[in-house]
Amino acid sequence: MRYWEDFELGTVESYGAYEVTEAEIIEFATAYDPLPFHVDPEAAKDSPYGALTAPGLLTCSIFMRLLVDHLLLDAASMGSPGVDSVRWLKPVYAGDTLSVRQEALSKRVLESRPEMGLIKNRFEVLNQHGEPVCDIASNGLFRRRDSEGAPA
Amino acid sequence: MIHYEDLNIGDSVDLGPTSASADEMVAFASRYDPQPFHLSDAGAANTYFGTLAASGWHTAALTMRLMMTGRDEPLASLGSPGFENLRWRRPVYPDDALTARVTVADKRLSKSRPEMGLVQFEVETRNQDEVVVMSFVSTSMMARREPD
Repeated sequence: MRYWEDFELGTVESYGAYEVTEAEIIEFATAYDPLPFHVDPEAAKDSPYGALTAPGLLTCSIFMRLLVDHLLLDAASMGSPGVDSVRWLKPVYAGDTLSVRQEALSKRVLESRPEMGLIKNRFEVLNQHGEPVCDIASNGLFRRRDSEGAPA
Repeated sequence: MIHYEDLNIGDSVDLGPTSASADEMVAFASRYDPQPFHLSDAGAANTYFGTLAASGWHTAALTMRLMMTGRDEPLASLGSPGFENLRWRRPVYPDDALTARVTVADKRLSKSRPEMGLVQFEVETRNQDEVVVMSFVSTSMMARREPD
């Protein structure tokens, strides 16, 4: 179990391998972001992207799955107040395999709730060529190891 | 189709409502955010949420649905370079009726791509009690009706 104290600034972690399929792109886009270049492979050929691309929020959702599997299910996670910025840098195409590169940028104890601390992380989502497709600056809340009530 | 020219700074619209059932929330979370409080009431019982609550990314996706389909005409969107200051302010529970207040905060033509302009939207997602559950500022690449 990882607590707030266990995150070291500057440490880089790389993890995950998630293949994005055409079916998943179309299913997600049909429900939430039905632009032609997300739902229609033929129309996408004539778009600026040249082929079907994943909605940006599908890329973020896949990032979340990789983060949950790698870190959050084995951490004293207290949720997230939000995301400072998301940049979609390159299109994500069907058949791409996504991974995550994570670096803790800053951390502080919450004055209002000293039993937990905030960590600002930078996440890069990379494709199988090692190219960043998405850059995320996010905030995570984690319980402190020495806080009252925390398991030993 | 709603183009770049049709959006003016200060314009504000309320879009929706839309909602997600408990089954839809669990299906989304099983795939993308399988933390216990997004998967069952029991898993949420002793947490901040109390009962099953939506993944924050599901709330963002539902808001995107409203932004893309909630207007009388579709947006001539060419995608988005990103967003900023996303805040998950309150939990979203099954069958909450979500609306999105979308305000045009800024707009400018693209220097490198004359066929489009960039529009900045301030977005607030509210539940049926008018409580803001999520907010963010997004940028959209919008096609121009009459490029130079």
